[in-house]
Amino acid sequence: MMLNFFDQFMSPVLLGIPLIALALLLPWILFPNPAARWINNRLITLQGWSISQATHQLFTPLNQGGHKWATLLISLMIFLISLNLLGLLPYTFTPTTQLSLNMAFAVPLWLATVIVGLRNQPTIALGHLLPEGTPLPLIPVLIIIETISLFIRPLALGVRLTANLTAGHLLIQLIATAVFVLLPLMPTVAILTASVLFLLTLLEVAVAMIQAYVFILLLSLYLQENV
Amino acid sequence: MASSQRSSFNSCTRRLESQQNQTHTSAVTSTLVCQLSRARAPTNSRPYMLGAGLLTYFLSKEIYIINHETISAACMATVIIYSVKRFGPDVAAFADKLNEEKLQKAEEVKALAVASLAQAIEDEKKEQWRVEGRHLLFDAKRNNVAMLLETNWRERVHTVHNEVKKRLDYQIALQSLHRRMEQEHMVSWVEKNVVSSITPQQEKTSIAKCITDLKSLAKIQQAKATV
Repeated sequence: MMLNFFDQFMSPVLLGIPLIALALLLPWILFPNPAARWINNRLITLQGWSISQATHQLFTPLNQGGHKWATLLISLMIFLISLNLLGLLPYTFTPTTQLSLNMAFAVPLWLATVIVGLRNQPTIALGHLLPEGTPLPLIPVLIIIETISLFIRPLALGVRLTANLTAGHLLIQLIATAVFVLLPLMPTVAILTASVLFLLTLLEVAVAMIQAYVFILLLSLYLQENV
Repeated sequence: MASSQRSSFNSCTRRLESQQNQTHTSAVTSTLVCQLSRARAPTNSRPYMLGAGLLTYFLSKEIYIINHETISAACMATVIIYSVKRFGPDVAAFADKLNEEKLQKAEEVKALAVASLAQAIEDEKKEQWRVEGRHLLFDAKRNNVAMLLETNWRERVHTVHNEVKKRLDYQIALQSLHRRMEQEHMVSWVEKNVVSSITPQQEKTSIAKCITDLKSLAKIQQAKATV
């Protein structure tokens, strides 16, 4: 069997059962429901604190209409963070490396923000296509450019997440293979490469969390423009 | 069984009681049998044995193959174990602090209520003490009122006395005035009558007598002066 570095990104199927459903459901069991207690255990306390911090951070700039999106966006962020972090473990499949999944998150949510903006305040939503203070001859060109930028947003959102995670996983696999191959030949170089791998692992942990946060942050920014 | 779990070899130098009476027991085999029949180490090594055995089994039977994922798994495990050991106590203390703050707020409310109630008790006790001293106040007020009445009565008596004295003085003055006027009137009437009754003859004789008296007196005086 040829070692193909892209096999890790194939949607896992076992005996005809798509295991991606299991991979998508796994984060749900990791976050316990808050019990009907006033003072909870440490895990639930920390979970509640971090969620409330993230909500406060993301939704303070938004007005009242944007707060209706809080449940959706924060639960999406928790989902993405847990999927990304679980994917860093060995032999796991990361669903967020699939472009289809990320586009399925990005396109409907972006489209929803655009439609909300065009329905409730069409003038202001269309006004975003022209930045303030542009010189008169540049106006037609700039409107075209801004429209293109508007339509590229969902693509950027999805591809950003996919590319970051895929690249990270590939790099980890490549450098781990380098260490594995070099270990019997040149152990010293292998140890140096292993230190690079260690730093890369730290980076990937950070990237996993940051990319999920950036996804939600950009969606909240698009919402802020339109609500 | 806990008391009999001793693994020291020295305990086997005392043979088992059943062997002590035998004449043909070998020292080697009897020690071996003694050791095997006693309980082993104080730590429960069964899970570690299972783990080591499973690992050896999986590796030797090539059920688990060491490849690049093993290296990346080792890296990830280092990161996870290091972060848990390093940040674990801090995170736990933070979670405990969050819960403590929650408890603290409720405790504050309770303490405030208790303090206000204790203050109410103190105030009530003070009021009761004040009530005990109330009779002193009433005595003082009674004395005060009595003094005022006394003073008022004495003033009025004094006023009456003065008024009566004034009236009596008036009467006395009136009477004395009457008497004096009568006296003066009588004296003037007598004088008038006497003056009117003095005839010119009487007047001449009296004047002549006066002159002779005066001359005699003058002689007597002269005589006294020369003596």
